[in-house]
Amino acid sequence: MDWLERAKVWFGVVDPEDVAGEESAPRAELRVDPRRRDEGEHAGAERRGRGRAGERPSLDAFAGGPKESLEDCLVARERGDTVEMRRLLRELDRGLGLRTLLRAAAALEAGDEGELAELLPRLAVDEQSWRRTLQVAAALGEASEIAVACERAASLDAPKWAVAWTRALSPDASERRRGLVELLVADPALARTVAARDLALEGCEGDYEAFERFAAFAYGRDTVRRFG
Amino acid sequence: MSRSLLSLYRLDRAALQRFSGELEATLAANDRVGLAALLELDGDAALPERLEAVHVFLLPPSATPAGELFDAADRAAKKLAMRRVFESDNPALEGRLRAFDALREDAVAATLVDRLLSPKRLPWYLRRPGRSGGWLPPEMRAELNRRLGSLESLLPPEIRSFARGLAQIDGDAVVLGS
Repeated sequence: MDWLERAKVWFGVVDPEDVAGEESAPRAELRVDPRRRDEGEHAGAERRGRGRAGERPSLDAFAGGPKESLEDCLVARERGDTVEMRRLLRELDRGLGLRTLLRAAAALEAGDEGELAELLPRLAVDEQSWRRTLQVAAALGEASEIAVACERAASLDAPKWAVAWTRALSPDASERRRGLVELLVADPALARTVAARDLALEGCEGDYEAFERFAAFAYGRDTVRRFG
Repeated sequence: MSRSLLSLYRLDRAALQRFSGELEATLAANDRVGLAALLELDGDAALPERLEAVHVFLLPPSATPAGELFDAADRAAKKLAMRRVFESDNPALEGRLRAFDALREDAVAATLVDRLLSPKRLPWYLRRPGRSGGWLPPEMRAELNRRLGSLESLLPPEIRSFARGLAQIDGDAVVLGS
């Protein structure tokens, strides 16, 4: 992920899943295929909407990127259009991760046992299920849920920073303090960022070193929270 | 950015672990008196009333009051668990260690030097943005000693002095910048 993509994730312009890991077909289409570079003098440029050197590119030609995002799903949900929300989730689902989790939650909500049965086995084999466990608990914000999720995530070999961060969000003051200390030990830069961004502690400032990690984890948690 | 002067310490790992455990326990319990005693502060005046002890360590480390606590933790850790064996007076040492050709051409030595200068393995209270430092366990320190010894005739005086300091350590080695 380059600095521009990090910035986009950080400011919520794109989803982390759109820039991390394998690319989806539409994003890959935006690139020049080196095997087709010699097909014509301007083959690559034309595909990206450019003419000859010096000409302004046509904006119409930039319509090939991902058209929809989780933001669209959440907007559809907020206006009560659950049919559109579920269509979008099906379209965006890559078979693992946050989108699959939300798709399963939407199927459960709609009583669609067929779709749920298709999704649950995938969620069960997700190597990063600790991440969803912690993000859901953090989104719910209940002390008891957070305590249980932290235990479960630790048993799933979750990184210490992730468990500590979630614990630091507990409404229980003692647990929150314990989480902050554990986070300080595991990742001081992230601890400072969580203190500034999540807990809004007086005088604290986010640390650039930890922004990427913060953005990726917080995005999932905040999306779950918004999904409800 | 100013270049720091590096110092080498012989580390008592068990003592440092005990200190870390006590420090973290006082923070988790918000034991301000215990923390002041552990860090040998003059009372808990360095801890603003309105903040929990752990919050002070989450403030920017370069500013007051966090800077005072980090300095105190640094002093306490050195007093309890580290003994200085070498102090460089040459600000070019770190750059030489990171970039001197003869050292870089020995891939193992270069890797060990990079590890010794990587603050990621230091306890959180010894790590501060922009500060140099790192830790090397005994077997790696011994290997680096051997490699620096074999390269000695090719090395500049500041690295040779550093190598002599490293040779005085028989266990874990820690480097900290000023």
